[in-house]
Amino acid sequence: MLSEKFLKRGITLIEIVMAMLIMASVMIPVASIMGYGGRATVKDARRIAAIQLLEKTMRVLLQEDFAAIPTGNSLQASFGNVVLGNITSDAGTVYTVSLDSEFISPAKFAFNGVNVNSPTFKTDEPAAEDFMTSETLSLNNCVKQVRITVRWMEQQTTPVEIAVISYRADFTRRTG
Amino acid sequence: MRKADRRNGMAIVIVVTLAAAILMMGISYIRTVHNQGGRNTIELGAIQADLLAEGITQIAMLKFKEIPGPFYYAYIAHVKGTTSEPYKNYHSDEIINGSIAAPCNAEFRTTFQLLPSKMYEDMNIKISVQVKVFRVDGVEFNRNIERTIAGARRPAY
Repeated sequence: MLSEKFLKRGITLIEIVMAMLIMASVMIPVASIMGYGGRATVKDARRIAAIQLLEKTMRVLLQEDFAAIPTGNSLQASFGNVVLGNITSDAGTVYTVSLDSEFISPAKFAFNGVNVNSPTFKTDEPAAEDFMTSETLSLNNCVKQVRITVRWMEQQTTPVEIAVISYRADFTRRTG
Repeated sequence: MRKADRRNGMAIVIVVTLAAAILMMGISYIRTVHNQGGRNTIELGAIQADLLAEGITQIAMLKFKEIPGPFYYAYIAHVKGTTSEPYKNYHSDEIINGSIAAPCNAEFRTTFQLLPSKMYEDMNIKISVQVKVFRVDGVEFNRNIERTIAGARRPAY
């Protein structure tokens, strides 16, 4: 009778030990999952900082004079208020900001001229026959396509890049 | 079977159940984190669409600045119903109605519209640019930008 009680207590102890082992085998991967979540959050923070840098750089660029925007590929020299090249964030991540800029030349615009000298032409109700055939206005060196790219390294080995594209027009063409 | 025998092994059952529940929560968490990857509160696609729309607007404004007269008459003819071809032609440029594939997959459309007042003496023009950016996973970002340019109409002759 005594040995039976002892045996029962021993089984309970084994159960507890086994239970602790099972719990430990579950909690270890769960802890690593939590670590993964933390790393993902930090990775997201780096990406958010890169997107903010990308947007800020392009908005500043679009405020620059048309003539001040250089043309070329992978430009990293700052100009005006536009900061290019390597930029280190508060968190220590190094972002490389570069500019690709080129003329869209010629920029072609279609329109139909109007024969305003026609005796039947009415200013407030032009007829179909008042319009001439389609013409194209070709403007050289009046539109620049600008692309800003931000690059950084993830886990020190994986290069990541994001980019935006926009255009800048020369509104001073006729006044210059 | 005695009551005490039936209770043997219950601790393991409880712990296994608990462990399974914790594991499921962990898997659920990792899936959530994985799906959230790249979907930050700041969406790159929305910013790409916004900046592209700003650029297209500049080109549209340049076109209007260079050739305003043909647009005035094309719009009036379109509204009066005499002919819509010149109005359509004014909108036909690929540079303001087209698409790009890099750095994002995007489509854009530009519309010119007159906002006449005082019997067409004042003519303000509204340039509307609609940009759609398509993310690789199919999510679509739309951006509309409108710019109004004030102008006074002068006789063509």
